[in-house]
Amino acid sequence: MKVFIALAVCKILSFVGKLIGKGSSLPGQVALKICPDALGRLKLPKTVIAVTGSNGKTSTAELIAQSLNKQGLRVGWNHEGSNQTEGVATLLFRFATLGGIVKCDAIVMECDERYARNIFEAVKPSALLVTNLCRDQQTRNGHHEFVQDCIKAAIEAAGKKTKLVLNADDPYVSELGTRSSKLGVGGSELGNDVIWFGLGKEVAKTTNLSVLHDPAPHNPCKYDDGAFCPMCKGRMTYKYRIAGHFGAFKCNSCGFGRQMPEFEVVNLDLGSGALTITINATPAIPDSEFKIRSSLCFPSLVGAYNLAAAIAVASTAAVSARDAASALDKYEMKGGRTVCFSVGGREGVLLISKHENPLAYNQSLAWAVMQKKPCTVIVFVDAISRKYYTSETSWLWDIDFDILAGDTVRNVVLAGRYASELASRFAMSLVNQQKIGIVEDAAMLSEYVKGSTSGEIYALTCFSDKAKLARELRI
Amino acid sequence: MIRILHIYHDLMSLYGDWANAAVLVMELNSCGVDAVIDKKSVGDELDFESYDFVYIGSGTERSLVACISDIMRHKASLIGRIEEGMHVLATGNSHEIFGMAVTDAKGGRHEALGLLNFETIQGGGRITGDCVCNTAFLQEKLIGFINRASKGQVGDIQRPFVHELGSGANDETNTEGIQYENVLGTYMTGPVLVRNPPLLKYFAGKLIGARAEEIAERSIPFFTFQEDAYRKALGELAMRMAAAN
Repeated sequence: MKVFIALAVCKILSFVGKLIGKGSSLPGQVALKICPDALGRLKLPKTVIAVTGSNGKTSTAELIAQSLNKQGLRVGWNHEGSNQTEGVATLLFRFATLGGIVKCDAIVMECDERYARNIFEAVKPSALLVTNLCRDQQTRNGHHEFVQDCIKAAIEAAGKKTKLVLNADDPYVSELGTRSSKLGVGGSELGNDVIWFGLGKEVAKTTNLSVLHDPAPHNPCKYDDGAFCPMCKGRMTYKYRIAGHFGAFKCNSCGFGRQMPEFEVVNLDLGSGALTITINATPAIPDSEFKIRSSLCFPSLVGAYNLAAAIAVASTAAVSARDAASALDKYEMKGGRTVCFSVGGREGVLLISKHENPLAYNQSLAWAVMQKKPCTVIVFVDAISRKYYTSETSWLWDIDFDILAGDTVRNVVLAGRYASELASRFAMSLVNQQKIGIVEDAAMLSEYVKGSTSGEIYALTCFSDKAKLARELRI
Repeated sequence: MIRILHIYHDLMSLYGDWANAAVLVMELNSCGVDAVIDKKSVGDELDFESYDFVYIGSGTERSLVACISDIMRHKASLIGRIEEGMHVLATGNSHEIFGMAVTDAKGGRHEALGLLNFETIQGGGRITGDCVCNTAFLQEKLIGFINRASKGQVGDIQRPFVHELGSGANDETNTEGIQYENVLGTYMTGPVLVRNPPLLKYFAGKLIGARAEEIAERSIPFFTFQEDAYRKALGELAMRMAAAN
């Protein structure tokens, strides 16, 4: 009876929420208050896919949903990105009958990496994708090894029947698929089936994002999360690097190394404005290469990983790589269009880059330089946390702003409430200080860009600061 | 010439830590003093006699255990130089190496340098948050961010950083860090010396004598930005504390 009431209340709140355009986690939250074990009582479809990791959760969940949807499956997914227990509850209850049967063919649930365990206590996924483990929101997440431990616990909660779909290029994700760390918690065999995806060595050669291959080639001071083995802390060497700590790693000490992926991107062209990848599904089978032209927000390595991951995940739901690839070909992501604008008659592109996430920033910086056009780069940091001011700006020191030291970058504008922090950071970079302008008051930004800078305009900021920047630049 | 050793620059480097050594060089240069940074890590030969200042940054809990097992090779020479007055700054969890031991999340106990009588227990959730603190050796307040495993430290030692906002070394105290001869350690993470001009000047002064303030050449704009950012953060955090009271 309690479940019935909880589900009914959730449905009413979801309906009201839709009308007023609010609340993707509140209905689930209220329903769980009424019946705390409601999640565990649901009858789920056979395919329940969980997506977690540092970068690319929302995008990859969308790609997976699309690849299943195109096969005629009715897919439920938390597209609002509400990914903690309450958000997942809202999603599942929305599709459930009042008797607790989830009426769809597949569930795709994005799960927060730290709360996935709580979700899996009640909802056992058929497959769990871990996209990557990078420095991300360390104010909340501590560090990537702490998050890795949270995911280990989540896998244990999910149980051995859950298939793991893992990034073969990321040593921290790879470790989840081998045995638990000698130094860390656990120490037992996880024992789940694993499907690997990754980017191949040809990609490392052909991509023109060379600035991302070698962490901080210009300044050996900066961090390298691929320096030491996550298993034994021995030194690792890479046959090649894709970006940051992604690549063909091998520990010199314990031998822990990259697994050969079943789904490997063997060709990637980031130059054309769209992204073309070729998936090589089980090399032994002929005719197993698939081209995908995808219009992602802007072409990026993470975008390529997301596509490979989505195809690998689809295989766990008996969708062939060919069918998944065809479903994703030319698919346009929701809200994934590049946002273009103009200031004083000059073209501009908005590059959304998560604050507190150096990889996201490095990719945007690399993209700006890759255009090989005279340009002005705006870095706008106004609110790091939505809740309150934080003095935690150490992530700015982990970003490789030296990428902007080239000649095409004519001006760099540092703007927003953290402009002084940014200016101190840039004073310690290789960027010519004469090129740097500082505009703390966002209201002055447009005037400054018009009067004191030249070239195309690439504006970097986070989701949380996007609205303010868009207002000031009249985007 | 001031010789700075940034030790375990690749193993213990979780929050932009490299900036501490780099900003110290900028400060010393602005005082007309040359300075160089040398970087050494796991397995490297090194001679502490060659250095005036050693910096070590934050790492993951597992990296810290690896750091301890490596630094024990250098125990005698490091402690010898500390007793002679060599300057050391350890930020984040790295100052735990100067205690008696660190116990990891699985319960393994790792004997550490034993310079001071305290121990650290890893594991539990994370304690993260902004902080504002006072010290006996500086008039100005310091700001920062703490990001550590929640179990923290045990041991009855004097802890130099007294927090008005933020957490101490364990649940029972609002104090954290270590101070012994010229060794200073704090749970504050990241570019602590960039965020806190008073602490940067303190170290420069210790390294080149009291004349640091007098001769400082402030022509490069960096120091203005640094000071602005510090004042702004101090003001914002003070407002947050006032609102909480």
